[in-house]
Amino acid sequence: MPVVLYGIVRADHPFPVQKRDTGPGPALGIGHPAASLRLVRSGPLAAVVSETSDVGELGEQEAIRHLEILQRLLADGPVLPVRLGTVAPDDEAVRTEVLEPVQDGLPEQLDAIDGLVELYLDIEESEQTELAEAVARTPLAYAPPPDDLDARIQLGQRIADLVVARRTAQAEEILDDLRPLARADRPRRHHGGPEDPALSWAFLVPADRLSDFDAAVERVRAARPSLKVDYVGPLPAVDFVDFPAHVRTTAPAVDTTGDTFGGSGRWGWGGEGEQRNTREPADRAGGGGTRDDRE
Amino acid sequence: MTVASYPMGRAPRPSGLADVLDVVLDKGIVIDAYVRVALVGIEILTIDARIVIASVDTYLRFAEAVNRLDIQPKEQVEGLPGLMREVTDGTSRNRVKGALGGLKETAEDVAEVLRGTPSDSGVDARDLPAGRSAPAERRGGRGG
Repeated sequence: MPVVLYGIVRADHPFPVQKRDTGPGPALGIGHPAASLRLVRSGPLAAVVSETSDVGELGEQEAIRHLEILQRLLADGPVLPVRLGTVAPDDEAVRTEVLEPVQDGLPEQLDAIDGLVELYLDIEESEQTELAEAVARTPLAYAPPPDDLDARIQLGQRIADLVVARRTAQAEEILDDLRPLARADRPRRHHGGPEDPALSWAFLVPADRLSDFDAAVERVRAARPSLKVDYVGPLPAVDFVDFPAHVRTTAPAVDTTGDTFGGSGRWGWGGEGEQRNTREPADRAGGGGTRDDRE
Repeated sequence: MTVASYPMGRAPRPSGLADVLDVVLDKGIVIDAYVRVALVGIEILTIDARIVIASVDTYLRFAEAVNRLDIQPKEQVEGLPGLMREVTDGTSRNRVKGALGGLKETAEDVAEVLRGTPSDSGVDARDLPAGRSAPAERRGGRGG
């Protein structure tokens, strides 16, 4: 039976996902019908999978489910995500082609983020407020836009410089408040342009210090009520660890146009165009096609 | 998807699909070259979608927007007669301007008058095109 992969954890990862009393949702994987999550272990590692004969379409709900599963796992130990939409032919393929190739490096990466979670802040301020505050007490306040186009652009550029300078100063103050509580931090988006966010920043925080960070964020909010602060987490700390983005398997390349599991060979499914427009025909939905294609 | 009103104002999940995909798609381990994902309805949504550049449009928008800003000094000038008297005095220019922020035409007329007065040493037109000068005085202190 093909399995959907969600993440890689330690082999001894506690697996309470199915036991928790919070409804069936997060305990079930993606697919039709949705099957229970389970672990496929090999050496020091385990992959979190669920069986499926028909993955179906992947949309926003499936992306959210995938993330929810990762977050549930994160509550009990480090987890590294596997890309949404990864389907392996069977458990044995997961062991030999996913877990064994990464046994030399991935355990250390999991150790590196043990007990740590990622949080991020996306901060915006209304443009009107930003402009008003930036030009206040400068000669540019109330500057009438010149008729000449070049001069108007020049004026706008000077205003933009003030806006960015104000944002930068504000961002530094906020980061000064939060950094002492984080192990590491890094920008999530580009900063410094007039169209860039006021602040978009990720923080690596010990899970047991989460409440301290919460409180610090609340202080930021209280001190700057004009800011719209999106505060999100805890998420797997993927931005603070170098894990292999690609796992090269030894499986032979297959014809991706073949009439196999969803049409793309042993792993995954579906040509983009085909999948976009049609659900899988019933005669293709079974998992057998994939295995047939292996030999 | 509801993300509002969680304890301490922290949302457990990103509210936007782009940020969800950032974790489960962009950052996830890719097993092998064969894996492909067809995301129904969201194929086009890429993680790079937020890359933006400062455009001329932005500058023009800022230039226009600042002129329309309703930056009010804390002290309120009561009534138009009071305003006009102060304009005539020519001594409380920034207060007048502040109060007239929403009345663009009037404010510009006032500015024209004031620019002509010899006492206007504060006008700073160094970086502005000839013939157009920005009001240069600092906005009246909030303390008045």
